[in-house]
Amino acid sequence: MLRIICSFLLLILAACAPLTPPRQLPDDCRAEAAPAQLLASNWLQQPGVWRLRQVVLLELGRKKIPLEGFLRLDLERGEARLLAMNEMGLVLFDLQVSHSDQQLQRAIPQLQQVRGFAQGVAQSLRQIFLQPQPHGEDHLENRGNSQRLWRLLPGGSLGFIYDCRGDLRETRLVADAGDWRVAYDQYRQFGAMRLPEQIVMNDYRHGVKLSLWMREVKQEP
Amino acid sequence: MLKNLLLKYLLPLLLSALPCYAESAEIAPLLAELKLAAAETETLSSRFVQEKHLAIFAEKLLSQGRFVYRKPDRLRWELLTPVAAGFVLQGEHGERWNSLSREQESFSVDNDPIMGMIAQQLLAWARVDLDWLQSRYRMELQSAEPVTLRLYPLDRGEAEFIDYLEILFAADRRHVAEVLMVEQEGDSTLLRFTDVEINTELPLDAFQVPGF
Repeated sequence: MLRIICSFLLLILAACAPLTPPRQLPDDCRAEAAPAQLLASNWLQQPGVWRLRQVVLLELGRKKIPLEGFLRLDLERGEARLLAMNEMGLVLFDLQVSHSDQQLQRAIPQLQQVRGFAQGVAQSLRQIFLQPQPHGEDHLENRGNSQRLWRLLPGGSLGFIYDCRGDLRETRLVADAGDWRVAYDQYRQFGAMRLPEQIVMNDYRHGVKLSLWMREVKQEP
Repeated sequence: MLKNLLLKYLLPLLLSALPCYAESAEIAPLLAELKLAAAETETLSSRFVQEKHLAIFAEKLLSQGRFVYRKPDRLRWELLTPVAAGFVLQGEHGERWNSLSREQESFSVDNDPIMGMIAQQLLAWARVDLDWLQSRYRMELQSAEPVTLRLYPLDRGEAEFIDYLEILFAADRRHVAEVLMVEQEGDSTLLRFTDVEINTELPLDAFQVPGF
């Protein structure tokens, strides 16, 4: 009886969890880059300041919250500042994030009352844009049309998957520290770098899914 | 001595009081004229451009959409770019939608204060509801040609967000042509209404939520 109840609960939980889109990697080339080349082609590991206008869908279980965001991403200093607005352009919150800290500059009263709100959003921003990043000492695994740089962590591992064009397509962490995945899709050339136009982050442990679509991309001179 | 006192203290006081007197004397007949013109509006539809100025980034974000109003209290506010989203309103109740979430949800002025404030503002501008605006804002006349009013919120909660609103009327004074909302943090939103059509027949689905 207990087994049936558990199976039923698992089914319900699975139905509530945000779906992860299937990863589609190009298969018309072979992925044979050296680790140094992979690191050099990753826009997140090059110095530069980006201004990104995004539309955002935040999913907390079954609750969906659409937002518009403007993100200033300073990869040189490892800092991000996000202004989130509603569809009328009213600023809902302004959050400044660094590798180890975050400051909520302002927020509407309803958000100020949500415990852990700033920490939660800041952590998602870090995982998508700032850290962890692959490095030269990671193990390299060749998988035909993709490559994976990975390292061991307490209780699991952290991996970065690149397609055969050298674009970072996924960051996946399963370890004591968490269970989350960031998928980077629809890369386009912006100046000298290629940037993804769609990013989806799933935090499986906390039941949070964050989808970003880039609408405008500018680089500060 | 007396002359000195007059020049130094009384004259500046009198001079500073003069513009206020001039404004309040000038604004009443203007408001009456605007009310009269607005009373003839049964329907109104337009395109709009929304310019969001982010002070800390010195950045301007453009959005576009369309706006429909039918007397006395029906409204459609629809963003077309950068994302399809919007709401329809009847009186104090509305339905909002967003193409990202592919969802629609009901709201009322009471249970969603931010949407409520936005919806009531739009309704007040569409029907030039000066009585409602005067009950919520202190008005100053910035210019008579074209008519430009500056509104300062009286409500404390609203004043925490919004420094002031500036409303520019069309040359014929029949409708609002621009609304500027300046937030306390220095950000601002400028709404420019274009291709305005007054008292034309509206499509049957003008106040229906679009399907996804």
